[in-house]
Amino acid sequence: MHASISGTVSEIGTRSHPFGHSSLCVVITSDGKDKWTKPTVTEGLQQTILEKGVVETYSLHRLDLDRGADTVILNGTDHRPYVFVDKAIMLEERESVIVGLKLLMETVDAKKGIIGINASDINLIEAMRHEVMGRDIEIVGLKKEYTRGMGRLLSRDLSSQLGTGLKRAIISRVLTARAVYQAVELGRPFVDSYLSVYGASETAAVKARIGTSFQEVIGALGGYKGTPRRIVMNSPMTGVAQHTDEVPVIRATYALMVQYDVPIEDPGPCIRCAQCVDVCPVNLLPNMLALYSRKGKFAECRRYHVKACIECGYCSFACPSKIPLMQLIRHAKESLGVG
Amino acid sequence: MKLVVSPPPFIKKERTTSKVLWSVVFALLPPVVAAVYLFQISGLLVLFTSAFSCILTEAVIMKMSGKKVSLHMAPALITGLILGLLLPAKAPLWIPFIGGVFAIAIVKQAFGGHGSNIFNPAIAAWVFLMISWATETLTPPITFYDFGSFLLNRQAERLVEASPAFVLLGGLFLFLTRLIKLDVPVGFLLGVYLPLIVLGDSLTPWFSGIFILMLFFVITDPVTSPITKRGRLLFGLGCGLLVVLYSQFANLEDGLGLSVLLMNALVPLIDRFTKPRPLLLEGMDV
Repeated sequence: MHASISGTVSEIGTRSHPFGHSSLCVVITSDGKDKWTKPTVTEGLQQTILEKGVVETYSLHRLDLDRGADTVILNGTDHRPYVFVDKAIMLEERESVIVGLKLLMETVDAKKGIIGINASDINLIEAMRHEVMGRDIEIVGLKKEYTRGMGRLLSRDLSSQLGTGLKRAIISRVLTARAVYQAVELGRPFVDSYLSVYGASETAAVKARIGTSFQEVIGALGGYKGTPRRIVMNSPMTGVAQHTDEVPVIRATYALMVQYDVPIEDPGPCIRCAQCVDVCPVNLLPNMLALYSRKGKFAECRRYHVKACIECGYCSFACPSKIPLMQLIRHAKESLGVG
Repeated sequence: MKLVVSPPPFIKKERTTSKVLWSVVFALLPPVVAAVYLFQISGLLVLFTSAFSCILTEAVIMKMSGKKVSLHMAPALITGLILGLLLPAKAPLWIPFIGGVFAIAIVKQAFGGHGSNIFNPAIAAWVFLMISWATETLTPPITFYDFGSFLLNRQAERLVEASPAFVLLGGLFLFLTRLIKLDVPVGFLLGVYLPLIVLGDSLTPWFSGIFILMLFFVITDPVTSPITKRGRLLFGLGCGLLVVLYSQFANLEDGLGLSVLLMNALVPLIDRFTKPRPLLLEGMDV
C-alpha cells in the first residue's frame, strides 16, 4: 500500500468502497508538500512493478508475470462516448504508454507488442503508428469495445484479424502500461489514476490521486448538471452503480458516469426476437439461459454453456423487453459455482 | 442525494418491444388502406370485426388472469389485422369474429400468452376457419397477374389481394428498418424459388398479396420462429419448400397456411438442433 499524498494519518476507520461494501481506510491530512522520497532500488523489473503497487489495477491483478509470453496486448478500446480514458492517455502521454509496453514485454520476455484501439479513431491510430515506427509494436484498429472479462475474446479477435495465433499472449490495458512506466522509469508508485468523467458540467479525463472522493472529482469539473440519479464507476456495460458519491477513487477506477434521468423499466415477456442472440459475442443463447435461470433450472443452464458467458452486458443492453438477462445469467453462474 | 443502485448495464438500446410492435401495426396500414379503398364498407367491417374480436378477447383474458391490460393491445391488433386481410370481403361478420376469439383464446392465451404461443395465432385461426366453413372463406385461386393488378386488383375477393404492391410497401418498411428477423424471409425465398426454377413452373402466382404478407409479416413473427441464426434460415427454407410441395397438389393459399403451421410446430426442435457452439468455452478472463 502506498500513501497517495504526503501528510499525517488522522484516522483509520471504515468507509464506503466503490464495489458496494465497507472497507478499512487510512485517512491522511495533507501537508501540501508532496515531496517524493528517493526511489528504492529493487532487483528485477517484475519485482519493481509489483512493489510500486501495479498489481491491483484493472486487469493486471490476474496478470501472471511469471508465465512468460510471446506477445503483450494492450487493450486501448473505450466505450465511447461514456468512457474515453484510453484515448486521453494515448493523446497526452503517448510515450509513457509505449515505454510501459516495452517494459512489460521485457518483463515477460515477449518479442511482440500490440495495442488495440477503436477502429473509428483513425487519427489516433495514425498518430500511434507514427510513434511506434521502427519498434516491434503493432497498432490495430478494433471494431468492438473490450471491457472486463473480455480479454480472451480480444486476443481471439486479434488472432483472426492479424492471421497469427496469439495463444501465449498476455493482455493488459493502456492504463497499466502507463503505471508500469511510472513505476520503473520514474520510480513512482501507483498513486494516481487516470479517469474519464462523463456527465459532470465538464466532460474530461482527469488525473486523480487514489483516495480522492468521486464528489471531489466531479466538483473539480464544475459539479453536477442537475440532481444526479445514478453514478457509475467504470464502463456503462459492466461497471458498478454507487449509493453515494463519497467513495474514493481506487486503482481499478478508470471512468465515472453521472446519469440524471434513469427510467424505471418493467421487464416484459420475452418475445423471442433473438436480438440478444445476435449481439452475443461468444455465441450463446442469452434468452434461454435467462429463462432457465429464472425457473431455477441450473442444470439446463449448464447444458446451454452458461460458463462461457463473459458478462459483457450486450444482451441486457439489446433486449427490447428490458429483461435483465445478464443479471439472470450471473445468478445461474453463481448458483453453479462457475462465476 | 438519492441514487439508484442497479445491476449493469446502465445504458439500454432505445428499441422497445412496444415500439417494435406498433411499427408492425404501422407497416400493416398500406395493405389495410388498399383493402378499404377497394372493398369499401365490407372490407372495413371484416377488418374491424377481426381486430375488435382479437383485442376484446385479449383484454377479457388478461383481466381474468389479473395482468396489466394496456401493454398487450399491439400484438392482438396485429393478429386481428393479418387475420382480417386473409379473409374474403364477402365473408359474413361472424367469421372474423370467431376467428379472432379462436386466435387469441385458443392459439395464444391457452399456451401462456404473448411470447409463449407455439403457432402463429392469425394463421392457425385462418386455417381453422377454412377447414370449418369452406364456402364462407375460400376464394378462387389466383391465376394471372400483370403490373396493373399488382398495384390494384379489381378482380380480388380476398382483402390482401386488393394491392400486392401495398403489402410489399409495408414489408419493405419492416425489412429496411431491420425490425424483423431478416434471415427468415431470405430462407423462404430460397426455399420457394430454387425448386420452382428447377421445376420450370410459372412464377406469376407467387407475386400475390397473400404470398408477400406471409413473407414479411407471418413467418417473421419472432415468437413462432427460431432464435438461432442457422435455425432461422432453416425455418424459412422449410416453409418455402413445403409451400412448393403443397402447391403441386393443392392451391397456393392452403399450402401457405399449412406449411407455416407445420414449421411452427418444428421450431423447438430446430432451436435445439441448431444450438450454436460457444466461442470460448472457458468463459471470463481479465
